[in-house]
Amino acid sequence: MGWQAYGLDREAQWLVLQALDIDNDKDIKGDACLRESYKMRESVAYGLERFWGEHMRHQGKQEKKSRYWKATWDILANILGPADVTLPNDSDPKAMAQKLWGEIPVDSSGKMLTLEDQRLALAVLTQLCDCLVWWTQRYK
Amino acid sequence: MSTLTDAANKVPLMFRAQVEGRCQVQRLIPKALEQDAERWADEWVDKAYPDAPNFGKDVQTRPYALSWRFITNSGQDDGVIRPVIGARGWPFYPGSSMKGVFRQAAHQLERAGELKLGTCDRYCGEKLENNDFRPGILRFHGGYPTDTRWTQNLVDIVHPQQQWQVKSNDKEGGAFIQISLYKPELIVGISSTTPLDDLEWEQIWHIWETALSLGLGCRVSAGYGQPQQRSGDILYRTRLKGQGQAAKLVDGTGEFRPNVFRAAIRGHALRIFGGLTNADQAEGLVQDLFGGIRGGATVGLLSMAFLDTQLELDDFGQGSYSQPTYTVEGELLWRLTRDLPQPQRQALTKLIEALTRFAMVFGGFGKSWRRADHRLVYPDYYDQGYKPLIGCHWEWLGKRSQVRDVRVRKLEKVGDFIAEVRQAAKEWMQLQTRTPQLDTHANWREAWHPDKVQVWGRETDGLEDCEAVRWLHGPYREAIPSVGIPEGSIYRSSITGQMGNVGRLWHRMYPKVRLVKDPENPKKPMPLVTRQYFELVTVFPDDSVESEQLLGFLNGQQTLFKKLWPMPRH
Repeated sequence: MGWQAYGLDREAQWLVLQALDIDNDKDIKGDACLRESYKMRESVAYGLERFWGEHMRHQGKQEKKSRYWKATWDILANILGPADVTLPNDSDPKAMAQKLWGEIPVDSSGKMLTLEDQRLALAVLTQLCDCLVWWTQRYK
Repeated sequence: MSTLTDAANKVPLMFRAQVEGRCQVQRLIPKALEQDAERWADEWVDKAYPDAPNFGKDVQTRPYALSWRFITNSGQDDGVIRPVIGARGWPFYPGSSMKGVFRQAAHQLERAGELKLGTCDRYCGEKLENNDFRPGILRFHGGYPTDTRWTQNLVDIVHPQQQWQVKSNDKEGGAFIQISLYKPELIVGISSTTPLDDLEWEQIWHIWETALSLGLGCRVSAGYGQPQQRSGDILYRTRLKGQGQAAKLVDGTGEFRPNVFRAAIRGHALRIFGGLTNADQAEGLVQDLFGGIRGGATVGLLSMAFLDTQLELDDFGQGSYSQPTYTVEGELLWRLTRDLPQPQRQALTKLIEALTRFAMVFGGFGKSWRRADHRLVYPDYYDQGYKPLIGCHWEWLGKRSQVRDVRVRKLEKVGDFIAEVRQAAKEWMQLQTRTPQLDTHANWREAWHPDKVQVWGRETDGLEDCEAVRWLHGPYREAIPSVGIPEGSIYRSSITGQMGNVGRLWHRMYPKVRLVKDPENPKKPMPLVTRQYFELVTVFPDDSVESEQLLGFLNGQQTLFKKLWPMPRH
């Protein structure tokens, strides 16, 4: 297997720039979201499910924040793809929990998220959030 | 590797998505078998170490008991207020918060001339001219509970209801949950980078205790985080005793919540100011006094604490009517949270005295405060078996309060007393450069303005000699068909109110306390608690037929009650 540059830092920069754009878009309801990266970095300590759930919690109330969290999750899933970890992306919290905690397959392929996958995903998410914080400090 | 069955449902709540179906700590689900908050708290307590964390040996420590609940928001979970979790899984009062309040107190003491100028900078650090920073010599290590009592009663239900109590029948919010510590004893630590002598340590603890007297953590103006010691700048204190319905915790047990005093008195402040100016100004004035969240969170000028000296919780009623009850005695303290020029200080003292006395004369505190305690004034009511607990009863406690705080010793004094309360409010307004406008009032149900409210009263021979309580449960006037007078009733009308609808009548039995000569010290008056009570009925008329008929009845068809306010113009 050859060298794979996952480009975490670049993805993080893109996310932060997106967040800036979202904040500048007056049509989207909700509070400023740029600084959510600090919350993201904190919530990593509580694991994947908690992190994923934050975009659901903001839905309908703070749409801007919700989008930022979801975009970060999607990017994480993209990054993990080449590493052969399939991150679930379900809109139902109960199903999502079962997939994330390795109880049911993540998708129709029948693949399960193993404990190793969970740890790997969390490690990458931590790194990604560190990058987000770094870029946030640059742009704010 | 063995796989865990049903893994997702074994994950502790803290690590779940904070959404419906997984975990919602802040949400109170009525009649749920177990609230998420309870389970969350159990999971936390279960994994915390049995012994408290220790401070290092070079750290000076002191313990402080708090009079009621204590909360420091971790800020980590949006949507729920819960403590910071520190070493060993124990709740933690952060050193940074400690330093913040310490610095504030040190500044205040410097300005008051009690501390040498520069002391605060020496202890807490200072900004230098070249944008550099010189650190202070003190390190604030924060605080931990001294023992495992903190694990009890963590789940705290909060009901925001000012809107509903004073202004209109629109409910805001409902109940929500926070996690707070019940009557904890905290040990806090401070250390110094240079050795200090005992005298200087005394000074440091004095500054800290000044800070502490304003309350620790958040929601201090609502009575949270108040120390069990009478320190700080006390404007007014008095002793009270009362009985009534206790607040229910999620598990159904009762709790006496001292924030009922603040809630009631804050509400009365709104009513009084709302009768002297428009809604916007009244709300601004009240926010300055008691704090609030209008246009950004403000800390009020006043902070309240209630130090109970006796507290019993019990139950009353049968079956589904069973309710937790309290009987309580204690001291109510109002402290000033920052410096005020002398004239303002005096006016504020008068105002908070007046408002507290107002609350005592016309109502009570806590649930069902608009009604006299039916157990005392209408015991027959409960002979019928399944009946709800209604009302509360409060009295001044002890000689000092009975001499100073009883302003209504005769029925005729009620009008003067109201004038006195309104005068105190007007004086405070003027010092805040707000002009009282006697012909305006807030458009609220209970703004205290002569056009909006009437007070009627009589003197009674005892608690059971209570007339108006019957109006609440049946007709106040029998029909006299021969002269065409129909039965008069406010039962189940907008006047008495119903579940989900605040009524427009307050009913209070206020104890008559006379002043007599003390035979041993003839120069000093002595309070004499009599058997008599003033029965006071406060009505906020609306434009309903029942309201009109009741006023007609009071004005023309009965002789027991006299109109006490608004007083007829001389």
